[in-house]
Amino acid sequence: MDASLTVQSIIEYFEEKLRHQEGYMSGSGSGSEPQYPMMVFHLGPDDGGAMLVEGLTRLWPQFRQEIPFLSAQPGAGGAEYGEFTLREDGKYAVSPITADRVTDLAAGLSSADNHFKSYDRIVAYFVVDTVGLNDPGGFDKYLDVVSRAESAMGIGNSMSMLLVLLDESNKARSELAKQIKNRLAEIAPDATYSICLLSNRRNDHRVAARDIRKLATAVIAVSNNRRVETVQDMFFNHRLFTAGYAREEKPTADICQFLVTALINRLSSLPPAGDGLATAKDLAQRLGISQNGTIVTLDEYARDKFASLLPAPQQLELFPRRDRAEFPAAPASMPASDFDEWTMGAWSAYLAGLVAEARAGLDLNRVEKERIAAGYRAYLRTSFTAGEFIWLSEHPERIDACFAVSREPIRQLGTLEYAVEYLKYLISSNEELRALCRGEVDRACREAVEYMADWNGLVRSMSTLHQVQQGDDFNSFYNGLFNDYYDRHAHVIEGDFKKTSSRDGLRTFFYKAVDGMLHDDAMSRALCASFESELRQRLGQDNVNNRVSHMLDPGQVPAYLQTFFSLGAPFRSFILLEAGSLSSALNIPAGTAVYNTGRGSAVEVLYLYALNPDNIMYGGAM
Amino acid sequence: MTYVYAGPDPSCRAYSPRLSEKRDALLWECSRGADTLVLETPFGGSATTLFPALCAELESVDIRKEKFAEIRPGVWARYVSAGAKARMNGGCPLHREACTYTVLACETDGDVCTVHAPAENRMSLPSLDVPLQIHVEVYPVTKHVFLKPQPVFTGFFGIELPGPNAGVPGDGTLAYTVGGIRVPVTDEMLAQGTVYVKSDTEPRVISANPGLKLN
Repeated sequence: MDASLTVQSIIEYFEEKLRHQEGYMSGSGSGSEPQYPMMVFHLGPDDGGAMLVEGLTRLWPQFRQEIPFLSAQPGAGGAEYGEFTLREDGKYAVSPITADRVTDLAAGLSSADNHFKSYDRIVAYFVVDTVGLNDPGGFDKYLDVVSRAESAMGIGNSMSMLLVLLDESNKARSELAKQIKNRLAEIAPDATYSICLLSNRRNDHRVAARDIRKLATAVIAVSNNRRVETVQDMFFNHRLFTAGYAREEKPTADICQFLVTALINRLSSLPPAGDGLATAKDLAQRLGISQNGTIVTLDEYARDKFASLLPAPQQLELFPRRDRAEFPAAPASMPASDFDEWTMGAWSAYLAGLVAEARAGLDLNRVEKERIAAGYRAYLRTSFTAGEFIWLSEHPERIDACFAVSREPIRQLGTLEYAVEYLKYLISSNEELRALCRGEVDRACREAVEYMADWNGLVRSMSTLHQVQQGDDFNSFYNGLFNDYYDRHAHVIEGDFKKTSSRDGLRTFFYKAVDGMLHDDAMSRALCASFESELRQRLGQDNVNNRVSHMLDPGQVPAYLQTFFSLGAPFRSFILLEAGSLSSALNIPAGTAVYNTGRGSAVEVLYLYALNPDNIMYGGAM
Repeated sequence: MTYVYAGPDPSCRAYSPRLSEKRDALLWECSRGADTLVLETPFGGSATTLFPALCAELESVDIRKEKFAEIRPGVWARYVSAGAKARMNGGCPLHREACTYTVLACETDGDVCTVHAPAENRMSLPSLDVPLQIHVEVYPVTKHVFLKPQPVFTGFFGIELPGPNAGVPGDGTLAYTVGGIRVPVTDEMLAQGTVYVKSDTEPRVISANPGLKLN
């Protein structure tokens, strides 16, 4: 295992799986769609661009192949381009492309195969993420890249929007942001594109780095819809604007944290016990060692590999005899020693040939040795608990005593049975293979010690979590949900947990436990409920409305820009949610447009404010 | 004794091994005063390819007891001093047949014995393959039945093996195949002389040693 397991990593795994599952269950692609063909250029660090692409493709998965998401950066020859493509691991990465390819992609937007509503306009978005900039000159280079990209598109009927994401997370960054604002105030009156200015420092003085990209996604979504007046406003009437934004979403992270910590707390009450082995009479058997001292995994190997080489019972008749007489009994059931005597030692010699072949096979095949080791490792893990392994690690003499036994099978066994047992004896008495298996016991013991350290570390790591602050209704609801689930599955969960005795096993156990919750019908239904349904389950419909309605007052929603003067009233207001019972139950003010996201995982509000360039101009020029 | 494998020395060489008239002893030519290391290896093999690794193994076995000693499975050696060779009028008695003998000249100085590689000369080879010809007969066992003109097959085949003193090892070198299995011939079977196999098809006797020739 590359790193020790923490409660945080399990929660992240759970959250990722749950969000993925929510994606399937909360509807997809049935919301509003882009009106015009569009292209998105991202200027800045690629990871920020990837987040934007993920947001937009989550909103419009059906347009993933129709909207080019490109990276454009200053570089040799003025601009370098890349295309965001989905990798096998589900993440987006940038592959370099040429300016000609940009032209081709722009030309392809009007293809008859696409599914946009109108084709009389093409929309281009240039999202400039200034987080990586260190000097104002870099911003001018970005503006140059925007011009070059527009040229590369080579389209006459395009509308463009520049979304500038400012980083004002500290004093030095704020100073740079001021100079960028000044530059924007200068160019805005004559710009060929509209400018949306968003800062991670909100007008309530809080810094919201993550939400700024969700906000940019929302701005892009609402600016390209069938309401012509909105499009007109955002691209032509208000050339410089900013936005207020708020979001209420399902507390998925908190739900995952609550359930994972509840699971760990339950399991913590199951103390590992190993002392029982002190008086165990079946220790050898649990180690997979037979009364003759053969080892279970090696027995299986002997059977698989060599049993097929043994003659069939009727072939034993073909062995020699001193005279023309029948054997006294069927050869297969004769004692091996008798058959050997009747056949003048030919049976022993025949078996010796098989043995030599077996030995040669063992000498040669390292891959098979590793397979044997893995098989025995797996056997041991099902046979002992972590506590028992730790006890064994403190009593190696008990293990050695079990491994010391090795007896030849008695020759009174039937001929073929003896042959099988003899081959097993031969394999199991091979010193190298025996040492291999003995080493696996040591390894399992070592891993159990590491496992206990990891488990204790995992329990300790819960103290690093912030407490879930969703209120009593949340705790009560998810406590009941978890207890019901656990009580129904305690036998399996606790059984699996007791069998876990290694670091890797611990991680696997928790991943499996999390997967188990997501696969359980009742649990999954509750966990994958939409934002609205989840709230309704806990609070009832009235409280759902209350939870959201405060956002319908623009005064309660922070703007993502600090200005010298009041922003005044928004020129456009939106509520973004899955159209359904919530939108009809809410008392949505006149003039607030409902944008159907087709997904029930969140409710967002977006207020657009026109900006006067003077309102963002600071003393001193760039 | 330490053994060192050295290059050919024209003044110290052994060559042209051959069988005595009675085919029971090995004769060879040797430089005056040179001792000889006689090596017996599997039929058709080359003893010189075993060197120099064989030197270390020779050190742990006493090969000067006037008889062949086993160095490793299938490889035997006997040290014949110049004096002993002179006393062997009829040659060095063969250890066994169906194998290859190689003679290498050597000289001992104190505790170090230098074994010289043979010269590359086709006229004076250092090795001699000694095959062993044996007779094995396989036959259906029949019996006369009253009123039947022809003998009737009994269901058994007889295998007439060479006797225990024919020089055939009872280690599975000789075997018979029948019905998909290979049954090794043991010393006890050789001592028995004729053994019987119950089968509808005739067993086929085979030799794993190309030097052990069946007729």
